[in-house]
Amino acid sequence: MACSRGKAAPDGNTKLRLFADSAGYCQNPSCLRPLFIDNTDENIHVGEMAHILAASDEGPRADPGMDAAARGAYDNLILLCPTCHVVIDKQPEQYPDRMIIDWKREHKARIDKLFGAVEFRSRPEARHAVEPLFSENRAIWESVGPDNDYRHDPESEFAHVWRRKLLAHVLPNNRKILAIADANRRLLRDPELRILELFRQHVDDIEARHLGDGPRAVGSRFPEGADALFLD
Amino acid sequence: MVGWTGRWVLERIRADKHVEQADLLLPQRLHVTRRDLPELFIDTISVERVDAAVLQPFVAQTPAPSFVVNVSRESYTVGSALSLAAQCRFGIGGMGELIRALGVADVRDIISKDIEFLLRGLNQHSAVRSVERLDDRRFRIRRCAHPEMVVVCLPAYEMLADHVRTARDRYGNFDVVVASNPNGSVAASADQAAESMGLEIYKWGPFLGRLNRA
Repeated sequence: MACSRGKAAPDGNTKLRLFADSAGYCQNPSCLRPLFIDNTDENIHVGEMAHILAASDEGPRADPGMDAAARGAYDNLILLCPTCHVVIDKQPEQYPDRMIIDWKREHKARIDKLFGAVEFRSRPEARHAVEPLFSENRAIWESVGPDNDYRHDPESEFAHVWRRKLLAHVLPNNRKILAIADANRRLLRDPELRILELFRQHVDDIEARHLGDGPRAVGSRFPEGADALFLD
Repeated sequence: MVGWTGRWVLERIRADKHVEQADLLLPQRLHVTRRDLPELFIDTISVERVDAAVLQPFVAQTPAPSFVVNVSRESYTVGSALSLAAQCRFGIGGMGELIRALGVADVRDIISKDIEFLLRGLNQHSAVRSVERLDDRRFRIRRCAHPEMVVVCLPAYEMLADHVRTARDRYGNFDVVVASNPNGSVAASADQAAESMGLEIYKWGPFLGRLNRA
């Protein structure tokens, strides 16, 4: 496995997590080559853990201010096939860090969506699947969301807590909800279908605001009734 | 409908834990007795722009107001109103400030929470000699080693061009817009509007650094 750089090399847990996230495929969306190859004699893996920001101060997409632990952390690594690894490191200007981060995020989203797409037999079953996701998001919103009193304090650390929980929980939960709702559209009533589309736009807006490359975007608020999908 | 504000505020404060008794004296005036705290005479208004002329009728009453509450949500208060309130020694603010005022003995110095944080941060800054509040959200900052600057602090979650332009319409001249919401963002349109008007926009942290530069 490539890119071992002492303290900038990933630990065992990180390796497992990267492979899990890849689902065994190169995370370059233009490649998606399988990383485990079965031939007649043996099974081999060809996946390589590439650093998004270089493992050294002189490498491609280097950030001299980054410490070794951060360089070897999960957030700074992506699993690629050998060819894509070489290409992105030989052409860092064509493959900036933001692009590679987007690859990783979109690859994971693709897998999450795949595994979230379960068809249920009834509305209560679908409701049972989405309710915990809505509940968690609501709890996060109510406890550290931007409408809380800390919004008056420009130095409040709760803003960072909100952002962390948004990225780690709220956004992935939103995607799971959409996946479940899309897989079970036949169980939704007409008004719910309209609310679902509003919710989809809300998810898109909030992702653009918090994950987008450009200036932070204006977006739609959580649509009324969205957290009651499939509820009878 | 004339005089609805008194009843509107009454309904919202009578169950407050600090309120012993609240009565409507006039359509826009409440009398509040509190547990272990002085009584209050609260005058109520609903206007977009609060200035001295708006407050003058209440100042002329007997007894004088303890607090004037503006229930209009999208409102602003200009310096003449703040000066009159300070001179006549009564508190002024929105419902949030009134609710906080119900629990304190001296309601005259109640200001909104975000302005409290901003003033503390500015007054503690080593490059700042003094801070003068010109309007509710506009401040003249006199600095130790650089020219003074006039700033407007806006709490918008998503600061848009309209926020910047509205601030210019409301407050007149200023040099800098500070986006004070810790979760806030500044849209490209706001940046462009500010640039076209010769203004700078900063979030709070970078603004603290800006104070150190000419």
